[in-house]
Amino acid sequence: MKAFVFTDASLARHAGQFVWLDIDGEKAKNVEIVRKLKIAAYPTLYVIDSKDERVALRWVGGATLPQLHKLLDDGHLAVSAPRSGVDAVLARADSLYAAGSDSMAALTYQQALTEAPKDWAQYPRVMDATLFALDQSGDPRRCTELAAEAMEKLAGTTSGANAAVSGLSCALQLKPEDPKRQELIARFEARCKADVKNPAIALSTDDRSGIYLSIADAREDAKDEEGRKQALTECVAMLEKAAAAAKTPEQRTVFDAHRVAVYRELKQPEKAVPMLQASEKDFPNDYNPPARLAVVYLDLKKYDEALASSDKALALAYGPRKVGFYSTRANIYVARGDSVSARGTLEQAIKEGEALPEGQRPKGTIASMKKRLADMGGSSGTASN
Amino acid sequence: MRGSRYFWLGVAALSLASAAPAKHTSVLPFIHDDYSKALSEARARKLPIFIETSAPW
Repeated sequence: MKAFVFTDASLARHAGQFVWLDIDGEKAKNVEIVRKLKIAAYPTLYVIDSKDERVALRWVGGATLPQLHKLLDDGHLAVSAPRSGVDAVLARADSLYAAGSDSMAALTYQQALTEAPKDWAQYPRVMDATLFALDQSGDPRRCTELAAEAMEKLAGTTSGANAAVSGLSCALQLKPEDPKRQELIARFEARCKADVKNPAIALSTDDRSGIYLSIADAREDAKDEEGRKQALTECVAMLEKAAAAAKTPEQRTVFDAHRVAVYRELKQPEKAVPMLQASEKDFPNDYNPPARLAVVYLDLKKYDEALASSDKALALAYGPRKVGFYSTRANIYVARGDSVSARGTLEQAIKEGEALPEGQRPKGTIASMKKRLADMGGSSGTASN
Repeated sequence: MRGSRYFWLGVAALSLASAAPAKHTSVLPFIHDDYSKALSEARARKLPIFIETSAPW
């Protein structure tokens, strides 16, 4: 969003409506606000009522320019207009959603949807939040029902495409014995295939690649390897085209992560090397290019290069992200047959991870590293980075 | 799901998802990494706060 959305001049009309704050969730200085906001994923956007610090609105994920305009208008209303009726129910749902109470938020949003007038202007945003809350709270069946409804009501729009891909994601989570599973997957997948190639729908390149990845998942579920490869190949072609059209190195690097991920899925990691080297050159203080190069070089069994890139990434990284980079480094040592250094690396990662403040401490990563260390036979007796 | 829309959000916590590294020219006057300052300013001007949370990966 920083590269493509927040740069748009049309947003200037909102400039005086808010105080604007951006937060890097990895920085130690932001640990309090990160804990307060209970951030589930990045990016997430919030509107906060400064009177009582209540979260009036939360939007998980990136937004297109039209979505952001609507979100800002809704956010302004959410803190200024008196609420009654369905608006009061919606305010309650938004608060629950903001607090991360996904099950209750999903129920309350559904109450709002039931009470809302036909052609409710809030329907797209509310449905988007409802589907995310249902996905997070483990109710794929209800998610598919609402997604199917929203996909038709919002056909041809950004939110309609989001409903289709959310529905596909939820359908794939249904139990194999569910009698409607295949039918639902087929229905959502067909819509995703149409939407992803529809230039009339305003979707970011990242959104489109996410849809392609969901289609690839559906093909994998169907044990259709050719179909899976075709979806991934189309995806990477689209990403390459977008990267080639980028006006600045900043815009180009936005696509690095998805390009790397798809090339790795296609078992073509070597194709990611030149672009990552270019990004490393353009942004010598950014830990992402060397961190990605370490992963790609490991795939290519170029262990010396992988370790050198890992060195660079660790020297630049900070916070919970750095702890994760040690996993790659341990993998490199394991691949080289150096289990002592691998164990030392994991010990170092655990030590650094546990030293992070609550709210930044990557508990899941630390737990999996401890298990891995135990599986490898415990302490190395030495530390390594 | 690996390829779902939510994968691309959730993967932020895992490994390879993206946001741009830095230095874009926003048309909005963002305060960087200082919630207390934003809150003080918002209360003084009687405005809500818009927050974009991200991580540089």
